[in-house]
Amino acid sequence: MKKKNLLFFVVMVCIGVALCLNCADKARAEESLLGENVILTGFIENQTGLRLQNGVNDDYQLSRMRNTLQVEGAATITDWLKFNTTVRGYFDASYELDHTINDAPKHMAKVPDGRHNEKLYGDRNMEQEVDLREYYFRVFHGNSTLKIGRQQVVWGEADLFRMSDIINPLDVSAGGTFVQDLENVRVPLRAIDFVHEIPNMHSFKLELVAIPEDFRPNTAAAPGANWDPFFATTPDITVPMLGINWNKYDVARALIDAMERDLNDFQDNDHFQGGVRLRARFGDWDGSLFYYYSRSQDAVMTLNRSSEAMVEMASNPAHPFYNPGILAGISAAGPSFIGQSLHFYWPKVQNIGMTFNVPESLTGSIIRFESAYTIDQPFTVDSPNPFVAGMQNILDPSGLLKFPDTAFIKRDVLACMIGFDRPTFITALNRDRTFFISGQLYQKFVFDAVDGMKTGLGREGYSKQQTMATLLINSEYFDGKVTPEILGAYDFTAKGGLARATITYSPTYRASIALGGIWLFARNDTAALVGPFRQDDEIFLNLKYTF
Amino acid sequence: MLKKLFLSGILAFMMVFIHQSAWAEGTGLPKAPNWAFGADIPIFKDVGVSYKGWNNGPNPAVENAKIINSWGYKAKPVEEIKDLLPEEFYEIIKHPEIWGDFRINEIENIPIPSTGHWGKYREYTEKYKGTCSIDAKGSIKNYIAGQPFTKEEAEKDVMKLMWNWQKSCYCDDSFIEFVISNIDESGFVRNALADHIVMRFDNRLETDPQPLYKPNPQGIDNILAFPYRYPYNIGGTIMLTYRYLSPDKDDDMWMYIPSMRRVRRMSTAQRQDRMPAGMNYVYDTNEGFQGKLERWKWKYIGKKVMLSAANSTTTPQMDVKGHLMGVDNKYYRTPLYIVEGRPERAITISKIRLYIDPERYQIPYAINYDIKEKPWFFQYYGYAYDSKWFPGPVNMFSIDLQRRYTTRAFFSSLTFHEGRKAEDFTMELLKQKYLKR
Repeated sequence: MKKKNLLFFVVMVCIGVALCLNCADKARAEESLLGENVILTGFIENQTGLRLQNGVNDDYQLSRMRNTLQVEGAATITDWLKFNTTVRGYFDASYELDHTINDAPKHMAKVPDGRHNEKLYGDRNMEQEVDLREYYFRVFHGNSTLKIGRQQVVWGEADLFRMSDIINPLDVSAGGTFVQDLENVRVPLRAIDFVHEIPNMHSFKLELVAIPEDFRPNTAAAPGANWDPFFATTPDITVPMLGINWNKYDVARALIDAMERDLNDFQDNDHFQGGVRLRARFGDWDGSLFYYYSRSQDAVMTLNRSSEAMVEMASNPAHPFYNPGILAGISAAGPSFIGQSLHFYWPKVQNIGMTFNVPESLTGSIIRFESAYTIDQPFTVDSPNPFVAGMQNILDPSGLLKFPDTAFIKRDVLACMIGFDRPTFITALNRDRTFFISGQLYQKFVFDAVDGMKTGLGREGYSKQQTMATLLINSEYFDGKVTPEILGAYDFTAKGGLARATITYSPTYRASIALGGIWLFARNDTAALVGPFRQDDEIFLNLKYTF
Repeated sequence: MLKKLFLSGILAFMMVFIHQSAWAEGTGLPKAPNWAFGADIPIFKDVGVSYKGWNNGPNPAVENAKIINSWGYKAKPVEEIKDLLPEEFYEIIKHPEIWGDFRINEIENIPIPSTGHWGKYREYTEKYKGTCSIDAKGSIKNYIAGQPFTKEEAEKDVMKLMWNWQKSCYCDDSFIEFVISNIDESGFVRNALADHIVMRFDNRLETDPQPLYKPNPQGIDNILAFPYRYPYNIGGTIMLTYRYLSPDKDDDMWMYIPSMRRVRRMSTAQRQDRMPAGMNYVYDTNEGFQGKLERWKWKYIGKKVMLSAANSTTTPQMDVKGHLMGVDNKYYRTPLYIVEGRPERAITISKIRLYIDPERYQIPYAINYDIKEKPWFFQYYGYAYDSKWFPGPVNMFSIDLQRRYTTRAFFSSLTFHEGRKAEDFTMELLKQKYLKR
């Protein structure tokens, strides 16, 4: 049955590719049945990654063999109305090709899988997915543009860091921005985006964004899949005395089940998100101010008061209802005890910020700056209850398992980035093309941080500040056919970072072959940015043909 | 009778067919097998456009000009005109086995009319005569419209000559649908399509406000929008560049990058950088010269009678298997100014040599020399005029002389004077038209 499905998928992809190539070719030639006002473009791509370390899977196993077909349609309906859509389907053949890798997650959805991860297009799981990613109408009136539909709305000046580019959540199930373009990692939302530009020397621009009903959180790979963030941070729980033997996947699954249970409630509730951005130019300075009201895209969790009381009853002999037999009940409940004890929330936050860019004539650089002040960013706090801590120690002496407090706390957060872009000649290395050098320094502060507050920053994830730097360098050789690129990022607070090197050969403007590798390093699994993925180094080969 | 009619019909059809396909238009000489002209150039289909030509139609005076001499393919040997061409150009056409078949057709110099567009240019030249000057930095002061300096002044002062070229009789605004085609030594071709939309703020001759565009509080010289339309990888990339009158102020450039889904400010500091995606042009020497005159040191070499392609055929002509454009082009004999320019700081280019038509102030040929002063790019610009004598580049190529690699550029449509305003050049309006995703 599975083979039949696979065969059917492969045949459908082949037919789809053939039709798209044919239609696209004809559409370009302006002789298509679709008419000259309809243009089809897109790409087919194979991404093959090979693991270099033992982690969620073993070294030298495939980390992915993702075959993607993306078709983008653009239709000009009238002078003032256009329609754009992007459909993307992928099939990850690694599960079929390499039977030694853990194929349990193959048919699992990315996590958390909320109600809005609609199943309109058949199976959507780690192995395959067809998604009508974007579909939106664009309506023009003079210098105003109204975009309505599922779309990406991108603000900001920073690369990799998200301070104002926060409208769309991320899907990092295939390695996220470590190995994918951000464009393909953002999850489009059903939104209304209105832009009006006043064409004068200041180029005043007003942008209003409203997302009336489509809230989606950031999503990650299912437990046990490559790039599973839970693998390194979730313990196996073995307590022979109590007869407990839960493996980390079951624990992670229990957490995710709880998260999805709560997510569905949130998606049914009030979830309006929206904001405004003002842009203007003063002299050489391009600047913007923004305000965005949204739900936090990462969940925070709390412990049920009843679960906390139960733990206390089981552990505290002085408790009037002390009953050590409860431990046997916990053991019998299995990992779902953890899920049932927790609640997940995606509280609302407010973001206020500014950006600017300015050319700097002395160095010939463009200086970029972005800053955001987040009001009421929610944080999970470790339970201060000594009996809960005792229970944690019994269940997981390694200390990875941390039960949260019965309430999360909110703190304000300030983040800012200053960076530069500079085309630079290094004629000893490249005679006729510059190297594009782009560096960024990023700083984040959490105000009034308290002990046990999970900020996700620093080596253990509890630091109240973060300092990071990135450096990107690329150039072109052989008439633009060979493009090497290196990217480095280092988190000074977490003592971790990454290095990525890619060399892309583009024999034509349509086809490209990219060979690269990514190395992730951190001292702890809990270290910010790369900790959970520090065993996920890989080399990859991407073949892409655009049409 | 019926048989004769049938045979006559076949004969007539064959004659028409032969005339259309095997004979070059107007020259009376046979067409090389790989030559394709106008709508027959197959690259138009590859990039998804059809050839529309000039919106005002081609210039009939040039189209119908009598050819008085031809050299090259199926004509006289090119050795006869060695002294009438830049040495690098001669070496190229002397080797059709490397670069493809090429023919040079000589016509009489067709005088520029003294009415219409050019009449206005001459009127402004007279009106503002003697009002311009050049300051210590080499910048032009008080320029409004027309040719800023007389021929005599220009021949005595190379900076004045260069400003005459910079402020030649061009168009207030233009829209060119451009095909860019790179071909390497193995004959492998990479094609791209872009629109080239430009608006000038002084020397405006046709559209209001004229002759200066007002208001111009930022001191803009011209605005260029360059949205790529094909292929997918670069399609939807929109470049918007402001060039300022001040010699000290760098250009401003913004680029909408589809893969980032946002507009990025770009540094324009490195003007000797080669243009991306394998184009044989550097930013400062595109179209002969695209830099700031004040930032280069200029030297007048002299004047030499040559065959100039500054009033050439109005149709793109391509050797589809070779490297060259304007393969059956028209030239006229005229003295060309030869000027050399050196950048303040040489990084990739030590100098450029420009051949400037003294009447039309177009650059039909330019040579870029690498840092070791070896010839690097030979650039050919076949300028032509439409029926209203508005000038536009038709057949262009830039050959890397140190290896066999060529960028060809030609238009599929060319429209002038649509009355563009500064407010038409906002990124939002450009995105309305060119956004892919």
